[in-house]
Amino acid sequence: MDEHLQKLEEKSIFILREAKAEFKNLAILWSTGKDSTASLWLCRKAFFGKIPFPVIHMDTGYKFPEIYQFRDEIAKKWNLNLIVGKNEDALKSGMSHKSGRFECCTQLKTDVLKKIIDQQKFDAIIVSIRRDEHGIRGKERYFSPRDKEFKWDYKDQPPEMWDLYSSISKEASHLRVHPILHWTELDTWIYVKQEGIPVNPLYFAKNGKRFRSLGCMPCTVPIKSNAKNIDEIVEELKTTKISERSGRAQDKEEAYMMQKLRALGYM
Amino acid sequence: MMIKMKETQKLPKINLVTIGHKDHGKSTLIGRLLYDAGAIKGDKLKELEKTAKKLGKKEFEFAFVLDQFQEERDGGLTIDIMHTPFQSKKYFYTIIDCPGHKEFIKNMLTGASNADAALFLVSAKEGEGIQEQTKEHAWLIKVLGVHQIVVAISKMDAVDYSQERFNEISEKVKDMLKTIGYPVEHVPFVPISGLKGDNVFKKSHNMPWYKGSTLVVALDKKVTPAQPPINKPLRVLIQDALTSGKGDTLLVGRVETGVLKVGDKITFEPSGISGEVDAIEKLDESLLVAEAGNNIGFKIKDTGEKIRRGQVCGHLDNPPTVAKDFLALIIVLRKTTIKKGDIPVFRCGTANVPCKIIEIVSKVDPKSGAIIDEHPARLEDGEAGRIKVIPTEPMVVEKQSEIPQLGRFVVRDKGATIAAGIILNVKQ
Repeated sequence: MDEHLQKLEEKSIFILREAKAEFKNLAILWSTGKDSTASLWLCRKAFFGKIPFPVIHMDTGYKFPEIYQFRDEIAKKWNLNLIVGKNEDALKSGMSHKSGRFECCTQLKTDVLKKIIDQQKFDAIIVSIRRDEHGIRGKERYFSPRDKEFKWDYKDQPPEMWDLYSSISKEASHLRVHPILHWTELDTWIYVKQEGIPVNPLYFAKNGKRFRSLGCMPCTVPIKSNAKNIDEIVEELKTTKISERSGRAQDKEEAYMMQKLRALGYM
Repeated sequence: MMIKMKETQKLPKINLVTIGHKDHGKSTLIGRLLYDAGAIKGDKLKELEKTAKKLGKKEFEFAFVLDQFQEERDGGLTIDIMHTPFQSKKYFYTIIDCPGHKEFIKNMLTGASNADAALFLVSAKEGEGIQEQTKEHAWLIKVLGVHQIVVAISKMDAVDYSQERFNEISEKVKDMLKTIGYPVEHVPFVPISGLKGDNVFKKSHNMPWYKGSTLVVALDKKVTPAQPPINKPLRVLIQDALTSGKGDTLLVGRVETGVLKVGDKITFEPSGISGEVDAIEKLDESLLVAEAGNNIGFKIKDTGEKIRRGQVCGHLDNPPTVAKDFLALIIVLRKTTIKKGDIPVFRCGTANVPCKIIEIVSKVDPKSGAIIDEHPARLEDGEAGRIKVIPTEPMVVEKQSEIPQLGRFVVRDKGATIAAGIILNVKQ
């Protein structure tokens, strides 16, 4: 591995081990996307081949078939303790993006996560966001507290000095831990390639289109692309004029929507 | 198969903290850097222009470019640190933009504590120049150990690109930096205009009297990435004890400084347990040597089971320092009071130890580090001072000047970080 990626990996592994040692009841979120799959890989490295905590997949019911297939394959192969989070009640009553994307994301993702955290009493959740993905994610800390209502007070975040990360305090219900916050989209792809990490086939071009960021079917559109493998994706990213989450509708509904979603506990 | 990597992807990463008073054009400069570096993609740019129109912005301002990267801000002020990337020919920079006003000192310190270098911004505009906050921030980043700095004298367009004004402000900044202890003869000063783009990425035609580099080239020349401290005494922070794939108990942790080899005679402090390194492991490879920066698992002959998180490993002939008491410089970061007799938890490395503050030796001026009060009764939010501390249990700390990785700490009250500090002296 080249020196640059090794530095990124070292920091991520340090963070994951800190999280494991500091919190009693830890879990990791896994979308089956490239970033959270890379995080699972990092966990396997940090904990010598076995992920010693549950892996949560948020199933909105609107995911692509390839996502479910990839999820089940990897869960078996890596012997994951998989928890699937689904808001059956909301789905039965017809919740979809047609009721408004903000409401749909909140009910099918944020609320489900709240319920799981409450029920299982998780005190920390590993989330594979990166600072370069979206403006509001650039403000995140590595260890980021959420309050009793799961709100992120991004206007008054605790200090995070050196790598002496936050612990649970009186005001926090749980912490979000962000082991690959300092990575970029290209870093992830090159790492995935060099390490031979399995990739969801949705990322590769079919009929001139591929997905650059994975979400729910109604709210995720593919980009025009002929990149059929990771090398070609890397080449494409060198020259692209399009931002990574351009295919994700919840980012663009209105100004600051992502900020509002995240403040409420969205990933 | 090796993949052909993007040229720039091989560039070393530099964390660059930007320091400057709130009205001195920081957001404009960062917006300009991002724009000129091509960091704003086509669709994002269109979205920005659209939002600008919707929010009633008359023109496409560069500060607004950054506003939008940051999403919402309060009344045009940066309210939290923000990380934004841009590339030069030599480095992949992450700009850590910190709020330039007083209430947000904890954010400024958070940003600066993770920075490799600092960009100082001082406005040339009439009535602006060096402000109290600028002095305070300069001293604080020096305390935190950020030694590489570049100064940008901003808003040159507002003073008709006057060489005289540039020299006048530069002299004042030099004096200030000298007082704090920066070797000013090695600090580049660049006259810029973020708004017009003079000397940021492109060489300015408006200041023919300036023969130096553009800001980006000055940064490239001045800054070097941090090197792993392999020449210092060995210190390994113990994070945890885990079971390996083979069923062995391994101590895991990061080599903070120095080099660890299989067969080395080592000791764990403060427990005093000693032993010999049997094996060093990563996921599926055994190593013979690990060095500063490496996260490892390692096995010790006979003693592994007894060692827990919070211990520090060093060589038997140069063991980690167990403190009887220590002298520290602290900065209060929360609306709280620190007084003599308090016993908050000090977090240093992976150890959490309640420590008694037996004396507040002095209160110091955060603009210079000068003593302004001897033996004050308390330190309040935003104040800095020297304190004498006795750990209630054995604890490893080191002088910041010798082993910075173990010479810094945060202070916690009920889990919340209330102060941060560095260790000036240790009595064993």
